[in-house]
Amino acid sequence: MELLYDTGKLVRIIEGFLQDLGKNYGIPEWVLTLGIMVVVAVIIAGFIAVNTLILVLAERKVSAFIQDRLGPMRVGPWGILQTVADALKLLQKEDITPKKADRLIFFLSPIIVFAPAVMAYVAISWSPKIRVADINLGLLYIFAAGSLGTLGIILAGWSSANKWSLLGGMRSAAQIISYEVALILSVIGVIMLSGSLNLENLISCQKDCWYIVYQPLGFLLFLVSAIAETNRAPFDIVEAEQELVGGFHTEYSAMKFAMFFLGEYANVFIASAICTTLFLGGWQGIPGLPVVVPPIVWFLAKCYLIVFVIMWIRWTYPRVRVDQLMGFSWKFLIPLGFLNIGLTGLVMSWK
Amino acid sequence: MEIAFYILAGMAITSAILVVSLKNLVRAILALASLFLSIAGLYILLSAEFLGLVQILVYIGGVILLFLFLIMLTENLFEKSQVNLFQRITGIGLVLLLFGIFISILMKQPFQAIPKTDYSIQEIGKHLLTDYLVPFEVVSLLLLVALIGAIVIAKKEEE
Repeated sequence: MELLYDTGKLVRIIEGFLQDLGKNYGIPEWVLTLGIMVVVAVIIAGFIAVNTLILVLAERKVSAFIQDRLGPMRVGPWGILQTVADALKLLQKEDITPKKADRLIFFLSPIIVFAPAVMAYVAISWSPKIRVADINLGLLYIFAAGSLGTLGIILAGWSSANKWSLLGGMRSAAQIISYEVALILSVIGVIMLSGSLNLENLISCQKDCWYIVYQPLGFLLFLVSAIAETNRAPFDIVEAEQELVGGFHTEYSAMKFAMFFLGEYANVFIASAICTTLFLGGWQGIPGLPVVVPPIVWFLAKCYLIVFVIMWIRWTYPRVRVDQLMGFSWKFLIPLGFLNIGLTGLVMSWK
Repeated sequence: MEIAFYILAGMAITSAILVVSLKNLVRAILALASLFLSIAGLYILLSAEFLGLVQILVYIGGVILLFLFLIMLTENLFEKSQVNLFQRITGIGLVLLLFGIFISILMKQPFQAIPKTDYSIQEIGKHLLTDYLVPFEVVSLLLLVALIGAIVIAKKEEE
């Protein structure tokens, strides 16, 4: 239990154990590295799968709460096994490929959406010293991984040989290019304050005061752009059911469809994890108060709080119209992002 | 490290050949994306992490997306080839010329290990705003001109 608070010690124990393993049994270093990589990949994939089950259930329960309903109640106590049953059902479905589809790209697109989402988890700092890779430019790495996923969405829309899917894919291209600018502009204020792109550095810079206090505008801009980047309502014109049947994944079924779903919820969690890291002090407790629960609990609690806010927004606001959507990014979010950078620079040079 | 280099280099060459040989344009663009990705990997191997990540962010997240956008808007571009004999001959001639120039430059180059230098963004930022200030500003001006030009052209077509 003590190790959960002092995770640096935990990491040192694991490292020591691995070094002993290498020395005593003569296992070469590259085999150990490869083994660790496989184990970490399995852990991340498992986390994403379980997390998606929890988030889908939470989404249905939150929407039910907001709409004054009960939500799923039949499977298990209070319906908590509903998403497990849904996942089992999805696994058994027939895998359909449309006749006119480009088979290779149709097969590759779900993978291109899902793999970058897994890549992004590598850089997250979960607890002191608990992270897969200490990347010096961690924040940039996460953004780069995020921009890879879009490719899969557009290719999925094109390869389905269905005009609704194609329209969904095109909309997502236009939307994600526009909102990526706003997203990156919104975090520059934080980077200016801390002078680093390393997630661990960013967290330790917030020891005395969380950046949400210094960067309230940046926080709001980040939240709005992140919701748009993850294609969620009110910015979900990519898969607007009433207009596009189902958007880019209309033709997908079974596990391929599940991959898009996993990718979407993995990205939602990544967005809230970055938000927690940049603006809410990461795995640190509230400044000035004694540490009561382990850092990992703090981190997950803050992440799920942001996820809840994102769901709350989804079930409260109606969908934005296509033509308004582009204008909202270019004429409103991006100028505000520049204003935020200018103000931050002014205040910093004042000091 | 060497194994990583050979994997990335092999990936880059394979996808480069695929880009020019595939008949299906969307598949060719997918190969181009894989080429950009492997080149980003090579940058990171040379410890130029910033360059590698920006390569992914700008080329795959921006340029490739725009290519796809254009190709999806232009239908029936996949079947018919509109290259005539004259274009083919000039194309081959130009490529051979370029290849000769590259080879002659490479032969003169004495290859040696790169000295370990600091490639952090702090260093890049300092260099951009001190040693290379004028080129940096010229490039920004060029981009601004291109941006305004694009807006003007788009406006004219609307009326």
